[in-house]
Amino acid sequence: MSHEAAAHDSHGHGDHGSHPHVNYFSIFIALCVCTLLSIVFDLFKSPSLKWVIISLVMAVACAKAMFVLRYFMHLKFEGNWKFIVLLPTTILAIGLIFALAPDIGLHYYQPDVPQNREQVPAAAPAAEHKDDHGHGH
Amino acid sequence: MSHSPATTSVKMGIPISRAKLGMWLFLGTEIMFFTAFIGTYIVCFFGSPGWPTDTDQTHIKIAAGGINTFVLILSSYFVVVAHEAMGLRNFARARQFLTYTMVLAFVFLGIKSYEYKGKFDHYILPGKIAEDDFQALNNTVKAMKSAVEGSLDTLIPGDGKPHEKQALLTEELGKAKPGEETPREKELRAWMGWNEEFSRLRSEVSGNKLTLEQLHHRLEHDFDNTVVVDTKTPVMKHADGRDLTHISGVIDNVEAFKNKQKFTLTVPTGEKIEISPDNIVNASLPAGVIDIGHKIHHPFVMPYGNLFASCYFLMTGFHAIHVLVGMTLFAVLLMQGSGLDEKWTDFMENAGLYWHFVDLVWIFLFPLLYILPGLMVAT
Repeated sequence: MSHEAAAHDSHGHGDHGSHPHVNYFSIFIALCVCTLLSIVFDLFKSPSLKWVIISLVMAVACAKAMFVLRYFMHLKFEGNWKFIVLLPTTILAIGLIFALAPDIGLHYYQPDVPQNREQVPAAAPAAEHKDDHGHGH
Repeated sequence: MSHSPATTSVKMGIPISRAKLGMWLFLGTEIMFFTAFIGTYIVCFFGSPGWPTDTDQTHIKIAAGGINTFVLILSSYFVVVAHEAMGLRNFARARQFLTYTMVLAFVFLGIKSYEYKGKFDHYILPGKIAEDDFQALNNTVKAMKSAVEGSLDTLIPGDGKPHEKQALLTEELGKAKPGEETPREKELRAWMGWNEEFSRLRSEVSGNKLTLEQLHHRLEHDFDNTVVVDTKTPVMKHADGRDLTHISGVIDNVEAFKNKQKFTLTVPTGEKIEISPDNIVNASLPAGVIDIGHKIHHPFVMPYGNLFASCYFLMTGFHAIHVLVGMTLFAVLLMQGSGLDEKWTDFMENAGLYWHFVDLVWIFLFPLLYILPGLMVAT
């Protein structure tokens, strides 16, 4: 039984030759630790350190993603083709947020939306479209 | 162009199987697919002047999210063990860990269903959330309407429009003998009382005469203490001068009503009308007979709640669909039973890659949906 058929290139471990054996259980433990860390960070309710904690939580998420990508999905041991496949994806993914942000995320003006206008007293009818600045929402 | 089959100096293509390359290209597109929704959520979150962040209001359970994260990480680990076993030709072990992965996938969907049920029960649905007081009042009117109509369907079963059933109900109630009412007739009379309360609420809300605070008080206190009375002699005058023998109002002392003593009713105009037992033809405490008041969901106002609900269901819904697809791939492998052999190694690897991707998406969804809103609240 030849499991090294050279005629076609779709077989189990022959492709990546020999690579150091990965202790998947340690990676799993590392992932659990990261999950616990992000829950612990959530318990810090410090307004002054808000952005620090948010950065830490997202950094932990990125670390977990790296563990899964590199070890579970085996990308550490794959060739440079991984960049060819993943780089355009990453660029487009980040680019999407930058493309959407100016229209939806950034504000050049005070947003004039019903949720922000003063609560209309129950007796008076709501005045609609009087304050429309023409940009729509 | 001559091509020598023995040439090995030029290597064409990427040194992985076509299926694996296909799966990675597909995962590349899936990354962009999910980044679209996650990016939209991030942009809308930071672009909105407000966002529901109170997890009690939005019914986001961080514990459930955390358990789901652990479940997916564990299932990823089991998939990797199964794939390793395939490489070592230990197919029984591969099947075993694949079964564990499948079980964990079901656990994930079970917890997700529990979370979704919480949302549905509390009307956290895109397009259904009130973002100001007026919408909240209208939502309560709709909720009361469906509760009252539901009660009517229980009393008068079968097909038929509500107004037809109401006509049947009135006809049946008309045959009741005063003082000798059967339990069913008591129920019918209680329903009539509730219907009157509903009509009153609906006209007050559409006339803009009720504030949200007043509605809360009515739901929490007034409905439980409303009494509907038919009297022999008129007890008050209507605004247009008519004498009224049918009034309803909030009673001051429910015990007095139950003990058939004299009681005072505060009618909607604010007047206090005293009713003596010998003037009563029939009287009913609707809340004591049919429980509709507690079936009406209390109104809440959630600015930007609809945008939040849209983003939430979009992200978690598509993620759940991907979990189902992953489960299908595992089912194909498990269905091979003892026929699972080395020919299936690549399929297993690619199914594993897909499952790791599903885990990857959840790794980003969990902090963004569960942890970040709590942190963003600046107090």
